[in-house]
Amino acid sequence: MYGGQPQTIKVVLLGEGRVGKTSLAQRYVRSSFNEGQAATVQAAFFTKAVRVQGQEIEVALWDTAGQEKFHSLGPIYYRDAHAALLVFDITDTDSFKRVKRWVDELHAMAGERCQLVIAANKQDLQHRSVSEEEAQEFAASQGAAYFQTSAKTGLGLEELFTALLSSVLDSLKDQRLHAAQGMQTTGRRHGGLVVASQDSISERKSSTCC
Amino acid sequence: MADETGLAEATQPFAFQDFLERMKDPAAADLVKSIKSFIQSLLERKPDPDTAGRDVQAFLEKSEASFHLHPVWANSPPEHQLQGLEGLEKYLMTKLHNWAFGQSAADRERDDILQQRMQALEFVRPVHLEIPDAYQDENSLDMAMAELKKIDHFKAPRDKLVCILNCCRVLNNVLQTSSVGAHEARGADDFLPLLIFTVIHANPPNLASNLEYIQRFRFQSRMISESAYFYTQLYSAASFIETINASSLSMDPDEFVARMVAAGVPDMELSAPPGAQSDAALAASLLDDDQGTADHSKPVVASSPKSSMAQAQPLIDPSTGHLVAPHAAPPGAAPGTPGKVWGRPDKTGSGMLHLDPPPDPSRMSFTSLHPHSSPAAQQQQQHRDLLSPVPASPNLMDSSTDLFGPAAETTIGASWPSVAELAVEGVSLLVQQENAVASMQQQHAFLLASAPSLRVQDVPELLRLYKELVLQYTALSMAVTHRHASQQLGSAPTADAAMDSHAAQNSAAAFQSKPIADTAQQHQHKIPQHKQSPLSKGCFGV
Repeated sequence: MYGGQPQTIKVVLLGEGRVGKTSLAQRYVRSSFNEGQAATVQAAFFTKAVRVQGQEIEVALWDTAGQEKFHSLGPIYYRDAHAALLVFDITDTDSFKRVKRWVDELHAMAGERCQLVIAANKQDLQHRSVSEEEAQEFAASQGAAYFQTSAKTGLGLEELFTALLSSVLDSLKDQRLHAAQGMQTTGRRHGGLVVASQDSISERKSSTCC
Repeated sequence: MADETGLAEATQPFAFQDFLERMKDPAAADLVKSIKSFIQSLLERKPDPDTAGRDVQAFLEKSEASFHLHPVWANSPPEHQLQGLEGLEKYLMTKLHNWAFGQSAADRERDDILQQRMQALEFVRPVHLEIPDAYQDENSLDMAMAELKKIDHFKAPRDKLVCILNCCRVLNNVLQTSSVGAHEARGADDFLPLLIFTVIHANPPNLASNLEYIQRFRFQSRMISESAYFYTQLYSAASFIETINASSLSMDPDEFVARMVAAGVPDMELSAPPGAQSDAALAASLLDDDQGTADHSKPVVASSPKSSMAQAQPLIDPSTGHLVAPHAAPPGAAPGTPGKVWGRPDKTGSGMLHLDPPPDPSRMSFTSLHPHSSPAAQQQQQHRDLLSPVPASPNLMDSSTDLFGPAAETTIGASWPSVAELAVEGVSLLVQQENAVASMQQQHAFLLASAPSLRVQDVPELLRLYKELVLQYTALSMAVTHRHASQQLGSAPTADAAMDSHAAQNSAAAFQSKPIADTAQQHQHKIPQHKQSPLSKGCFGV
């Protein structure tokens, strides 16, 4: 396992209790079983080997406890994460508010290196209480990619993770490039790149969702 | 099983013997020499865990490169080289353990805080962490606790890490084999509370030191994936316990605070010396929860800013020091640590303090208020020439209430009488006072109440008042006793108190660890799914 170590991408899952973040992760990870690729399914930790941009990588999904009383433990988990997947339940306004809180904290603490992706989950349910426009607008305003998902039907999952991983790889490449050029890391540079990758994300999304 | 791959990374038995054998090869003499001189160079220095951590990491990295090129290792398959590195880490850290472990004063303080809190939190039942009944699998939880406790038995960081992984693995099995809401995926929402519960009841020794030791000395390029994840989960559980407050658990905040204070855990609000606040404010701060959700008409106290326990470490004002003393449940006083803690939640829910019958009287620790009731306290008594406080008697209430009155404030001056002397003094003041009874009744509504006149609704309020009073009394009598003692001894009493508490904690921990471990061992053979797991290989076999 240590031999030709593939790059590991750490993705931290944030979402209030019962928004389906674990189901989302499990569904995504399990979908690789028939491809005969290594996958780990613990109750709260998942890995999946994938090929993105021609590169073998291992995705490690770090599930976190979403209950309010554990909120303050967040930084212990998202410290040094490559990406944060923020999940809310479209039928639950509170869960959307929690996502906003995490986004604020992530901006403040995790810095620009952490790519943000918001999943509007439970699209299979009819009675939504968080409006699509509001959620999309919020994501755009925060430089976060946005996807409609359903852990039940699998809607949007592949697209979400493909975009997420591409965006992380781009960001890493960018960091390496700038390190090689001896340039100082600045938020400005990163911001530009995130937006660029989001254009491609939203293109892909519009073709597959709704 | 799908989850074999990940854990195998961290738990496959590696051949430490093989490492030692290879290093005996004359061709490896140069490697051996460099390893020995590295160890020697560290041992000659004063221990500094942070720099030592960096040095060890750098040495491992350097060795990884040199193993690749060295004739003894170069021709081996990559797995063997990797195992060789594991062997090296184990060799190094076994030699360096005594020098490197627990050398950080900050970690040691956190160890004590954690131990004290976990001990105080023994009352926690699954319901307090909202753990569903279906996860309350005694055998497995026993086993998880036993695995976690072993963390302190090993010297090598990897072996310690394996104990964490073993513990988490057992909990994973609990989650995956139980039948709660079959459609819901079970993840961290369920895992973390279960882990916290396990940690509290395992009360693993030197938890903070162990966590930091792993962080510093575990070869960083191996601290990945599952190892990193479950390490982080434990780290997080420890943080939760360290910073636990009245709103952290699903229970009545008053009850929480009362229990913590009774167990000698100083709440953050207690950090101000009692004299600095009015007695009512003190009591309110003792009982008030952070959210201010309690509906009692208490005086508003500016709540102290939340801080991590590590920062709040000077738990009490050094000049008063009194809250350090009573915290430890006396070792030996508890004939049986409650081994079965996951039993069904009390039917009465979490609204009230269940005094009847307490699972273990010594842990209800109102008893520890009375020095004559426990050996540890007796020692303190001899040690400090402590006079017995006012015995429980009908007069207690009168005298103790008076202690908080304005009269007492003026009485307590440069010279410190004992609690008993003060009480006597208070009683006589009270007797002299006109309308003493009437004014007291105004303050204490139930003072003259008779049992038949009480309504059921009065119970919560009565209970609250009772707790408030006990806490006030304890706090003040400790303060008085302490000042009394410091005056008599004329030495540094805080240091004594700290030493007492440390010793008590250690022995309490040693005492406490046994029963649960034993139970767990008995159950071990009953759990088929763990039979072939790395549990035995990793932890017992290495």
